Amino acid sequence: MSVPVILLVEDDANDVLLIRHAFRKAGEDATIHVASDGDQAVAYLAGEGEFAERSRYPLPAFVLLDVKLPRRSGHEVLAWIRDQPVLRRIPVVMLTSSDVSSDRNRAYDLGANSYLVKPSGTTDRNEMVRLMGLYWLSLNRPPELSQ
Amino acid sequence: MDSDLNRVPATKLEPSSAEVPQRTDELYRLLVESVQDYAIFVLNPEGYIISWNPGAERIKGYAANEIIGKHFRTFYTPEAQADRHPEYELEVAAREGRYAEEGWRVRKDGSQFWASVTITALRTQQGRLVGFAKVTRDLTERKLAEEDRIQRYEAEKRLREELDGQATRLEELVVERTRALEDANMELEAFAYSVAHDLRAPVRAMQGFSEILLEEYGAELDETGRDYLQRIAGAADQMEGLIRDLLAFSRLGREEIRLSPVPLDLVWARTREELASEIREQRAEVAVESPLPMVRGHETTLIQVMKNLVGNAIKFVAPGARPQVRIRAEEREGRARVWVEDNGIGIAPEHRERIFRIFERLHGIEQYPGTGIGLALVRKGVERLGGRVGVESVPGQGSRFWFELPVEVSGG
Repeated sequence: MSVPVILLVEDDANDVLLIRHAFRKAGEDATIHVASDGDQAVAYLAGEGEFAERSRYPLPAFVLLDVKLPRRSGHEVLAWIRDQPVLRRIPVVMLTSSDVSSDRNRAYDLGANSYLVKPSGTTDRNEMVRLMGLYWLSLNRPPELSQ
Repeated sequence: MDSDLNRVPATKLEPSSAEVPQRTDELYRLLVESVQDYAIFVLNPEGYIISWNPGAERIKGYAANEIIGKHFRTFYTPEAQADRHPEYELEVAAREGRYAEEGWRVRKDGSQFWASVTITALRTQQGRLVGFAKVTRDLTERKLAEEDRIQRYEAEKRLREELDGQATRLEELVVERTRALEDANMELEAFAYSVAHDLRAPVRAMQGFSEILLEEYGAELDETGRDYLQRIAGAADQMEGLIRDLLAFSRLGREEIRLSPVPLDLVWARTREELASEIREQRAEVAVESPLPMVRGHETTLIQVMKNLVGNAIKFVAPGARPQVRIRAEEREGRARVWVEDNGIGIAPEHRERIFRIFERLHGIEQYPGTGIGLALVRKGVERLGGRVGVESVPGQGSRFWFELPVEVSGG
């Protein structure tokens, strides 16, 4: 089996580094591709533009999606995903610093599989990433994404 | 004068007066002559004055010899004369037997008075018109009083309308200003929220990287280097706490709160979970007099209130002392008062109001860490639920914080 791929949609470079670090700490052997705004996330999943080559940019096991993003918000990206014929099956985990109930409810209404709030401490973040990797990469049975 | 009066009825008015007893005639004369309050006089069919009484002299100002023989239009204003109003009055009286009105009349000196006038046609038994009896009363005072009353009434009415108008304008102004204030307030809260939210990302980076540095590269630094790094991590932690409390505070003002029955026992159970590590670290003893009542409130808000009150009770103890906290409730007049009592350092009377204000702190951050938001959050939360908060304290002997909410009677 090949190394699992995660698409991390995150515009904050520091958060990207911290999340990568936490995955490494957890010993999770995964490739993390990063889209730094909503449009890039859609291009990646659609296999368009710079992400046209599927062998280099394979469909991810799940998407880690921030809510507040430039160009296209996390909610809009999520709505777009759930509107695609086959891609709509892909698990989406929201990872955001917003814990406002309206953001949370909207995400679930649009079909998010999970909603996580970014922890501030290193210990909490490492633990969250470890459990997330364990659940979505090992425990969870993925959908078929080939047409 | 007497002779005139005597002569008139006898000769001109009553040609058949031979049948009228002389004594009755005399009585009538006396009656007319002694009346002071009424002008009573007689006109011939053309309107010329042929008799005059003392009342007429008193009211109109003319002596009998000045006015007898003159036309009665003299008593009218120039406008009424031009309108031929006097002639009109006689026409009506002649046709219908009687004419009555109230109107302005002119005295000898030119001044005007408000007159109540009755003109009665005098006819012989055969129906021939022989003249008119005119009775006039001066009602100027009544008229003026009436006009005064009307004026006062109208002035009062105008004033009332103006007042009503002002009140309406004031109400509109209050509504408008309130809306503007609410808008400004909401804008400010939205601003505070977005600032606090945006501050979170850089603080998270500072916390994250300083902690990673300490953990993975700490060994490569000397003691001083590690101390500095620890200070950065500590400051970032503190800032994170401040932002978290600020966000909670502003969210309390922004989010819609729907009141529902909340069992305080459940609120305490949740609070204890959230404070578990503090309670353990401080070896705090928390005694709860259960069951706590069911109140009308909002679960999340009440957990925040309870968490801050109990958190404070555990935190503000003398160095080395073991915190002892008691939570109990009493019901009075449909309201539940919840007490959170501690054995802490207490609060001096002059600080008891201040501590509920945002960013107010009584101690240095080194001594008792905190953000200065906790009790402001408690007060705002309880007030948004329609309740009250307060504190009783003896410095050195602990504090007794309380909050009061309506009891849920039906039990939900």
